[in-house]
Amino acid sequence: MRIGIVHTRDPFAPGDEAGVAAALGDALVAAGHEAVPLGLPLRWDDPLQMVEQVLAVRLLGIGNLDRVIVLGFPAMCVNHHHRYVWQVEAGASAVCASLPATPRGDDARAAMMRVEAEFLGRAVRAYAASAGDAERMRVAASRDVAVLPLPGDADAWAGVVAELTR
Amino acid sequence: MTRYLIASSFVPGVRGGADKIAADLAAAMRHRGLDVDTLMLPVWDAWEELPQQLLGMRLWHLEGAADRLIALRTPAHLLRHPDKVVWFLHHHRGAYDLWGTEHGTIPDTDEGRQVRDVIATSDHRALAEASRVYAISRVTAGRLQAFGGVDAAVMYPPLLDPEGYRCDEAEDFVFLPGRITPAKRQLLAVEAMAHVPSPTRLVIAGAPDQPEHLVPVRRAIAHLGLDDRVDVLEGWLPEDDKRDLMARCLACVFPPFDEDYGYVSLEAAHSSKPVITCTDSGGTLEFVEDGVTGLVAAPTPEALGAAIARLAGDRRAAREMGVTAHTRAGAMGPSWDRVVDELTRA
Repeated sequence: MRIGIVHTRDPFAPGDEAGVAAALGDALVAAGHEAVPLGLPLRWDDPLQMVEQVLAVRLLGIGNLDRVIVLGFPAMCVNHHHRYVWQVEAGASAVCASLPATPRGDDARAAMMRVEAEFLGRAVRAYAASAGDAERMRVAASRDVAVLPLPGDADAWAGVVAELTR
Repeated sequence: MTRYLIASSFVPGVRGGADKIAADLAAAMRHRGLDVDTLMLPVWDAWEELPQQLLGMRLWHLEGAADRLIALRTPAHLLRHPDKVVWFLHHHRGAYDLWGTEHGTIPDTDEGRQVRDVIATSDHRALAEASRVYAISRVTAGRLQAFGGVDAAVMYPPLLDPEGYRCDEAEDFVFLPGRITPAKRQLLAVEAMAHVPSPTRLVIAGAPDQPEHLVPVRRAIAHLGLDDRVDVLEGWLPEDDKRDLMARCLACVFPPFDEDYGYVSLEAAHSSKPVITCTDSGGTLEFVEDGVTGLVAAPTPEALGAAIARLAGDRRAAREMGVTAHTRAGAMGPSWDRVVDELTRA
């Protein structure tokens, strides 16, 4: 399969998600798939920017892929019919933590939470790297969310790939 | 330290010259000790989806992410930034020079015309925001002027390691590397082989943009009885393998329709090989001089086949053209140092 790995990153400061995306990409290739990294730039400078960039994620053209695996929010908003969510980094609540306690900030926070619930709900499958995140996602989206921990070694990546490609 | 963000676009699953330019530019900038990051945004060519993708480009907020944005492949130039320099690779050509042609990608319908106009309007606005616009070839610069009145300086993308190409003794095959897609006209090259005497072979190497792009090529090979004279190496060819085939070939055949630039001609020159191209091959003609560094044929199977046959029958001429191409290669464009100077100057 040709599989896109979608994550967000701050330019010049890629962060942990980029490392997970790279390791997952290597594991997918080792399993005979074609991995397409899709690192999307995210800047959280003010509430309005946050809303606009979530929309930008949604409007991306990501045809030509058999499946996408998204690693967090708002990457999970990409428009693809066969979308797996594997929440390994921040969810919407964590992303929104830096929003100001102002009417505009509150509106942005509420919008983000609704968007996360919507796109979590629509994913073909949903996983979380921790039990805590899985429970939060189950409540937020009223759906099944399995726990799929981050692998500790190269061998364990094969299990992750088997789960995310089934 | 000044932070430079290189932004480009790509179609997931398709690799081409734009990826190479972005990667090579980043490497050249890092070699100079500059702080650089690369942003590759996915785009999809479905014409109905283009307006929403263009809107999406305007919604990213990169103002604080870098001190300068260097935009490459369309529609990256739509990204907003107060200090934006554009090194323009090509338009979304279906809305411009390919509109209404056999290679067109947008239908001439009410909706298609609306999409075309959205693309033209957004390009016009975004290019006006740039402090400078460069074009990768005279062909691209000409289109910028013709379709939007944009003055762009021509700056050819150099090869990152030209010394990595070599020339071996020519074997009895011509080589056509690159993406397999109708505009690259692999089908024309196959049909040309019907007019080339044995035992000269054609080696096509590249990944099809879409699986169906290979179908007419394979069908023509079978129909013309060329199974033993045309090899198709399907898939993205490792760089070392490509250079090896280029080193051993008699000549490179590169007959695209109105190519924007055409790395193949530059790579062939550094391999001391002549290029056989067509009179309507666009940017390739900026590097190939007929009878001097290669041959320029009419875009018909007969004419292209005759050109291949001519070099197959006159190895000395082929060798001399290759040597001349190599001699001229160094003067074909700026060095990466010069490119970096241009893209980073105030």
